[in-house]
Amino acid sequence: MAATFDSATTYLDRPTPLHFIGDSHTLAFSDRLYLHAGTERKLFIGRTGYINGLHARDVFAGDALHGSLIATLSAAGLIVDGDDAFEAYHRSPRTHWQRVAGAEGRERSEPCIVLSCGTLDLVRILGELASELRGAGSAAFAARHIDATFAPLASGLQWFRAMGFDRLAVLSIVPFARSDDLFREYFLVRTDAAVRESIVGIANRALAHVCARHGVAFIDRSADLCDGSVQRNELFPDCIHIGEQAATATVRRVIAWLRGGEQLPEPLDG
Amino acid sequence: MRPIYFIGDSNVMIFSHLSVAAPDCFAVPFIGRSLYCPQLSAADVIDADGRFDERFAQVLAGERLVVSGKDGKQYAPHRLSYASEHALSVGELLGSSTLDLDTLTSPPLVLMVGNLDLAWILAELGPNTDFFLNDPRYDGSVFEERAEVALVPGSLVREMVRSRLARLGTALRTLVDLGFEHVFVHSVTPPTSNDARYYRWRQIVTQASVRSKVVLLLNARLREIAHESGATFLDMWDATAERCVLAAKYVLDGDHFNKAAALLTFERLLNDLANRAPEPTPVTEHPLLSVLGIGQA
Repeated sequence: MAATFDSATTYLDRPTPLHFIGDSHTLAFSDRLYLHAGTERKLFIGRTGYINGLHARDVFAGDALHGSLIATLSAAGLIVDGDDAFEAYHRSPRTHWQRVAGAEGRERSEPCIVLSCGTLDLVRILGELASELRGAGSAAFAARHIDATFAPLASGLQWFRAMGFDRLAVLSIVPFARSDDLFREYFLVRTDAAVRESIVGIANRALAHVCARHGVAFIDRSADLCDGSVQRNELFPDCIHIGEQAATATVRRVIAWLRGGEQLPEPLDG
Repeated sequence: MRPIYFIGDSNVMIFSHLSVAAPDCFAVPFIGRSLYCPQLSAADVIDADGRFDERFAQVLAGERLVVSGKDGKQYAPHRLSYASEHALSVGELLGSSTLDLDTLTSPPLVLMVGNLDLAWILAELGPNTDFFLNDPRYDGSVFEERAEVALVPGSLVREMVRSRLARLGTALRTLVDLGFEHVFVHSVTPPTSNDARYYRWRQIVTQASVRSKVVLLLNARLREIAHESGATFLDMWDATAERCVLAAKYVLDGDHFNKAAALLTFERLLNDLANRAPEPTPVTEHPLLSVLGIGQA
């Protein structure tokens, strides 16, 4: 029997989008709604801009942001055509975009963009430099290598800031699977857990440093996602990617950052 | 939240992040997702070779509504499975299903075009031109009578409309063939009554009566095309028109309709979607709805 629609509809407040852009760790946020019920009741929604295979080392090359990032930002309406280059939609002075914003029936506001990348760079480093990452001096070696790998990301962050995206954050890299076999099966790279845990820690310190240098927020999720430095299995349904609970914990941290360090809001399943 | 995608000209913008819950029929609330294609007209959506307009293709790809298979063909992700002979790379599948924790279903797509075709036709007709229209929805008596107008045959305007919309059916069929089960075509909005405002937006000298008639012709043709193509025509004329122009309470800026009108569209959409569902999905204790204080059935 067909459903019968009655007009018992309720219109919700327009939620504020949180744009998670980057590798497959952005997918868990897609279209999930979150309520911040602190001093001011506010709805947020996760918007995912997934870029298949995005590495931090590819974020910026030459003098341009990675083409897939440009396409994703453009499709999300975050950047638009300017006179001879892209410009941030919320800052565009062109009459056309002001009219388009008017057609939305609300003021333009600066979007919140949260970038996720780095995992695939670490997988590549683990695969290519497995032997160098063991033994004395390996941590310093890894740190140097990671710094070089993240240099294009740093340029990318500069690009975002120059475009006028100030509500910009980078997610910490999630811990890898505990199981050597599972990691090998998924990424086709043979390593041991201790090396993986170590390199994630080093990479996150490097990311935090890059973010601090460019005035970008670093959303450190280690306390939420790890026991010590080890992945909390229950938060990773496929042992690789975060699930709903971890996504919620991440969003709580993002919202707390947006609201200037307010107490973390209660999670709400959308 | 389940997105409803509004794709097309600047009229899509008002739907951006509009959210509605209908817990009697749908377990999860819907949210409007605006995919704006600057200056997209109905005549542009697809070319003679069956290729989507670049702007249109970009927003479909950007929202991952269409993905490329290993065979190079394009697919709607919800139609793929791991077992598919066209199985995508792991990353593509991740993007489309495994980590999107809700059940993957065909998202509703609402195509919104026609305003720029209206402007094109009005510009072609020129100022002080009129034509006769036999349509019960059109009431010429509500407009001031004009002296010295040049009458052109109605068949000429109909032909212009047919020409502008000639390829839209191909675009709709392509979307249906890609696997989208809920493709809608939104009617062209009743025009503004204010000629000077219309001129400011479009730089075309024209009269409300002529705009109204051309919109009715466009909508009549859109209805036929939607029906022939497996899509659904969302006719919002009666709900939003008053005296053959956009009712004052639905006017946003002289060229677009406002949030109140957009919510009417939402209701019409949900009504249609609810009647498509094989079974109603009553929700008794949905955490989101209860926290938001939305009454349960």
